[in-house]
Amino acid sequence: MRVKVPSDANRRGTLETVFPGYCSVAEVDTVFYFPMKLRINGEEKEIADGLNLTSLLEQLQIRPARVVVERNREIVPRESYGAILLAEGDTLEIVHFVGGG
Amino acid sequence: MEDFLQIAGTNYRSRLIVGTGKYKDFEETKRAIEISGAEIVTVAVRRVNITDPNKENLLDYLDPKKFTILPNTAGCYNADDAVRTCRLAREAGVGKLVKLEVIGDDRTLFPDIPATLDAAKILVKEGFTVLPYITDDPITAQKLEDIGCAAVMPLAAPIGSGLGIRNPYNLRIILEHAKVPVIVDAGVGTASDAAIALEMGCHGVLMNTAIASAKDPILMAEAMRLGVEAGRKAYLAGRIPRKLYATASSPLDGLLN
Repeated sequence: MRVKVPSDANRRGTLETVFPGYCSVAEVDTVFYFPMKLRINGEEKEIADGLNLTSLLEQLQIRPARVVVERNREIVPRESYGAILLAEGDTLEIVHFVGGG
Repeated sequence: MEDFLQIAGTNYRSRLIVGTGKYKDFEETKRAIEISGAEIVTVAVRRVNITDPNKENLLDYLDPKKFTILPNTAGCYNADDAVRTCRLAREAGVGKLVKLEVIGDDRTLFPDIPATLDAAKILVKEGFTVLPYITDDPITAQKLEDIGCAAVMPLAAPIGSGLGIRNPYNLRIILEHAKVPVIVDAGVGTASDAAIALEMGCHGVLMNTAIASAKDPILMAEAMRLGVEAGRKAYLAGRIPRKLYATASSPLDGLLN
């Protein structure tokens, strides 16, 4: 189970201090995560923090082989998608080829 | 004798370059392109729709191993955006060929020449093989050649207008001076327009709308292939001069009288 920690929670401290209500939702396999706001192709998106580019594309059901990704105006080489940890406020452009003249 | 269109050291058998826009679906795109005989196909770079990422991709239908993919910078109105688009396209791994177009105005879609020159300088320096879309202006063609563009691509008429070659005299001047291929890009309406371009000595022709928006795009794609081939052969064969008066084709000797 994945549980989003409220975005106004204080990020420092133990789970009890940042998310006092966690006991009522926690199970053995619960993963708590902070939401993170990104801008992807001009749209605001909320995703879990600590996500890398490979998992984001997976979540969006986008085949990496067919796209090019620009992060904060810098092109990300395809081989480093796994190593790119996304951060709050990142701006991503995910493009591909379409019909054109 | 083998006759090739040579761009930056690569030989192409077909002198027809086709776009991939405006088709009903990818299947029609593929069929039209196959019958056109084109080896170079243009594509545009756009954002993926992240809320509904289409499972199918244009490149699933056009194998980059079989076709030379020529990404364009359509929709870019300044040099920065055009350069950015080319860099993104190169990262897709389809090579370093780019069709540079920096649009100056959305009514005419005529190019912004100063911005095109600026972008071309950067792109050539970065190792791109640059094919710029330009107005039919010999001075611009010369400047882009001097910058190091691999070809120049003057328009026949506004993009998508189907008006055919509006200024053959300018094209002739461009052809006389150019040491790189001259490819007529945009404005072709039908097969005779393409044939005229090649008959004049243009090295190739690039089109999209004339095929994709024809009533029968597949048949028009074939017509364009034949038009380009006919025009090229007529150019190589050397046409007769135009004369005002008749010259008999049958011998005058041996007439009955």
